[in-house]
Amino acid sequence: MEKQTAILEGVRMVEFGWAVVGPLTTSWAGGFGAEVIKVETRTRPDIIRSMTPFKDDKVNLDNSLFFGRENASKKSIALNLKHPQGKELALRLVATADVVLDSYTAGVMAKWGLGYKDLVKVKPDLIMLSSCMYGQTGALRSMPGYGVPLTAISGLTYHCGWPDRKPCGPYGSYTDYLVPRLNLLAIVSALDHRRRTGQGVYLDAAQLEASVQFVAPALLNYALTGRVAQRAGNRDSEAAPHGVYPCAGKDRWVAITVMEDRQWKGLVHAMGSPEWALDPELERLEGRLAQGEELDRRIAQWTESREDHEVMELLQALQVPAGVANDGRDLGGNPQLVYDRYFSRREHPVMGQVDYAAHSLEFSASPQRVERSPCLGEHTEEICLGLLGLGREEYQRLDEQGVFK
Amino acid sequence: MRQDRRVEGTAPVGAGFLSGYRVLELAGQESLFAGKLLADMGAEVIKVEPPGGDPARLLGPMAPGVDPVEASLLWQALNTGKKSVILDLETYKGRDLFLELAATADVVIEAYPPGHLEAMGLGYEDLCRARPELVMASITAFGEDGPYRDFVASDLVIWALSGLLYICGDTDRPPVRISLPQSWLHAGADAATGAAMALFHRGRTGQGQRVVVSALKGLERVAYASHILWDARGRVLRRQGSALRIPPMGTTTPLIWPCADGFVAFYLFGGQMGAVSNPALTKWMDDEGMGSEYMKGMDWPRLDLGRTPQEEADKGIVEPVAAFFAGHTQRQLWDEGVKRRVMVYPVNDASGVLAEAQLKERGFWVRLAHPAFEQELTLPGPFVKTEDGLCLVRGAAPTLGQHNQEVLASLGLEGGR
Repeated sequence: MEKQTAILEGVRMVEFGWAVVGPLTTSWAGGFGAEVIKVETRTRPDIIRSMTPFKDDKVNLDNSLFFGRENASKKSIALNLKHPQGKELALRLVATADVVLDSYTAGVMAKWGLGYKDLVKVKPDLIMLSSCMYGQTGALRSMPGYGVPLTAISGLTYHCGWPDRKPCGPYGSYTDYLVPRLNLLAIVSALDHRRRTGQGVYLDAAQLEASVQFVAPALLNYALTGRVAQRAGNRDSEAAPHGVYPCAGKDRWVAITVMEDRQWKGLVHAMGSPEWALDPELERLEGRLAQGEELDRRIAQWTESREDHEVMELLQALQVPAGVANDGRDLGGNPQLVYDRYFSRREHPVMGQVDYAAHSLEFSASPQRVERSPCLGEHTEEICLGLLGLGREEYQRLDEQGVFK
Repeated sequence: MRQDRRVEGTAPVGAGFLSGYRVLELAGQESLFAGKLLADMGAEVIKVEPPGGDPARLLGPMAPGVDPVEASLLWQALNTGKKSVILDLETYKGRDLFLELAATADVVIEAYPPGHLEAMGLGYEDLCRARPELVMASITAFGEDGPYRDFVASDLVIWALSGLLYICGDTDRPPVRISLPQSWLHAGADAATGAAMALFHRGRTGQGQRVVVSALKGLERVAYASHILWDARGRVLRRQGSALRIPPMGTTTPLIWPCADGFVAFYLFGGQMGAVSNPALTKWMDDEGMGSEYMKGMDWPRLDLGRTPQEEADKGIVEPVAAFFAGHTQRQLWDEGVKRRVMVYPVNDASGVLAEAQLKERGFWVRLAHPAFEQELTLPGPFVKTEDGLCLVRGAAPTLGQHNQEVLASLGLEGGR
């Protein structure tokens, strides 16, 4: 038996985060064994504590499944940072930490006396990552923002939609889910660097600069050739057919993509080798691209009377890439996600039984464990009396002064 | 932190976060971004290519007038800072050489179908005989085990099964993806993270291990609202196109608006969310003689769009704002919007991203010389900034087999094929 140790065991992270990017970065670290302490306050609650959906539609700060999903596997301490004692306790917390993450607009942490320059005084080998929209320097440094516009500015929205219409963009705040992946990479790389060199580091993580990595080939193409990439619906210039086709039932769809010529043979066979599909022109990609619209029409005629799962299974058995467009109801019962125990059902003191999603990584010797999200300030007393070593009387005195609001 | 037995990389610690580690990257487009990110972090990343080149060298967009094996701009964008070695893993000799190379490596990244490397005698256990503390990161579409293990994938199929596809697109058309493939980028970032984490763990405990990435789970994460809406309220989330529909009356306002030379993104929030942007936009329109009496009379913090009849919202706000946006360019709206604190943003195409002043001011772009190109290649710089250049784009993509001699010589062997 290999020893089973969580991969970030013994690492403490203090999060001054809000919305999605900061909190999700540390939530993932928590699932891999880091001790994550989220510093928040009732005087200005994390905005996603107030965002839908709420369990059974009951609106309160501990009942948002959106907050829960992005804040699994961490503790919450309520500290009013505008109170001098609140700031003092935050500094004492940081002095015990390996990593600090903040996701406020540039300058906010420094204004509270909690900028990197302040924090390294109490923790010289600190790793600190600041994740704001546009970075810590430049004319836009103090511009607030959120994921939906960032998806537009970084070039992703423009490429999602139909060529004959205005872009629709991907659902919601797309960049909020790519930036934390890169933030976590930066943090764990810095942890290993510190392990080897003893040196901490400050990381200026502009969300815009992470996001444009996801359109890099199109940017290089424009810079080099002047060609501007366009949205193409579900078409692909290097595969045909390549689309999303209607199936039996209301709003049911299956994606089918023929990436290689041999997959076309599989699709033709699955469709029962109809006369039109035996055209030798269609055996090669060029021929199929030339007849793209006609192919889509014909394939839709074949799929529309069939169940989406039936089409997927039939085609996958013939090694043709095909997949059901799962909706929110389907996901929980998806056989692969169920097999992987991707969703963990946890008992939350306010929400009751709710699902938490895991990170997409699994380690053979260091299992991931997803714990429920915290209520606001749930661990304040535990952390103050334990880690920070406050006496009970001192804790009560500070509480009466509003430090733990 | 705990300090147990250390296992270090094969080269000295240098100027990058992950300097001193050697990474071998195998197979196709799925693993390109993972290797690129580890190279940015300072690792020595060796792309192992079959004779004739990696299949990803054939992926568009292609640069005209360039040697076809080097012309893929997707390849150029996602292979910066790597080395290239040709090894034919279909032959005994190639596999033996790969095992010798693996004996010097810290990480192997691969994306073959589950079971493929084992069948070639190059599975994790085989490689561990050559290098017991090896870290191996496997990028899969759906997992290395389970009911979808042998499913064949493509970007669009992963979008579909993850739930992300279903919620993207206009209401009256099929669901739609981003036309630039995304799944392997999310999965690649995760694989790089997994490799770095496993190295950290190995450094503390001496233990190597396997890391498996599921692209399916990666994209499910992006579709965040779909599963939780079902879990919280038993409701299925449906795609809404570029519009925001607010209950209880279902009043709908656009998110994407045409402007003089393209599109801008603007959320018409009610209440406190719109309390800064909306009055500022009202004044801006008025300053330019395009004011709306309805907007000028509005007590913005009290605006409840969900309780405003559609016709009233259209006539009073949407139509005047649309006319105002249509009369201005993207840059006018973005630049002046920043000054006036109106949250209106450009829906950038590739040319717009390259024109962003903020990115220029921060010296973000890198320009790389490549022997197959007459012009320099312009690419995104590092995704995170540090003072000491611990994360940097460290050079152009390698030409096919460029480092055969160098890498094989490091094994004490003569120059490659």
